[in-house]
Amino acid sequence: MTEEKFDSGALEGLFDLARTEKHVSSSDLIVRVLADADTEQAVCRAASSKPSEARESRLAVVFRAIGGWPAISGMATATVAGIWIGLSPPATLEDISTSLLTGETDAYLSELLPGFDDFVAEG
Amino acid sequence: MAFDALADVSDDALLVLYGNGDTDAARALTQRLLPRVLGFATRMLNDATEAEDVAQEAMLRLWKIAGDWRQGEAKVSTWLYRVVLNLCTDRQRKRKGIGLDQISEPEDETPGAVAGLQEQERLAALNDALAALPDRQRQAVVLRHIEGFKNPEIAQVLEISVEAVESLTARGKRSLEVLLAGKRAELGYTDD
Repeated sequence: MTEEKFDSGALEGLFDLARTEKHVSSSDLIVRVLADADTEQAVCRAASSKPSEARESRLAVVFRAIGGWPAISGMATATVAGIWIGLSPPATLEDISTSLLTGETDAYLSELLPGFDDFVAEG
Repeated sequence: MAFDALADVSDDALLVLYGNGDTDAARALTQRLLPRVLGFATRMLNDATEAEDVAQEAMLRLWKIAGDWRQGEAKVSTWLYRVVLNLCTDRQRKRKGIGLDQISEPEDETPGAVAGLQEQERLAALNDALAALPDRQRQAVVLRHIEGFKNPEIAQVLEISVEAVESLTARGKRSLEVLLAGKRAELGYTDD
């Protein structure tokens, strides 16, 4: 009697058959998977719509751009004041220009440059 | 992007689209990947209900990773199959922990959509033989010969070397031939 062997050809045939087997997802499973997908997309949308809490102030950006404290310490005060005026707005400039043109008042640096002390202290 | 237009888009690209808010991409990925994931989990666990749970959990992890997915670094399929494998392994360990490893018959039969009684009997014989293999041999054989992965991809899924994959698949196939010996006539294989 010939010994039965399950040879590799027959085994390949079984593998071929297994590959044709369709595992049909139930409609309930599909609904659950898509619901999870929607939930996760909503979570991502919510997370990306929050404003950045780590936004740098304009002052900090400029401070870094000009080289930080080593650069500041090398500049004359007038240069630093000029930078500050460029950042800080113009309501003060209008007062300065008016007073200079009319000669009516003497302006002090501290009055002309509100916040300047804080600017040079920042860092 | 329209759902029909996504048919030719890679899994990678679909996942990125999904991460960017495209809801059609989620449907396309589900249609494409869920049956494969479910099939693999079913073969690993031999239990339809548990396989569905694993499939859902694996797809959830895919949705969660989408925002961080970088195209070209890994294949979505190998990543997903590794997740399925790990989830199945966890469930099998829990079964062993509470003495359920003696159960070889599935609680729910999943003959799948295969026509013909003989084909169903052949599939049942193969599934029984696969269930009798050591875990790693079964995983390697299923991934190679049923799921259609190449050895380097299997190495990524199993987190082993390609040489180890080749050894596992070779030993697995030899073991299957031994386990199925004697069933040739019963399964309708005759010498022509």
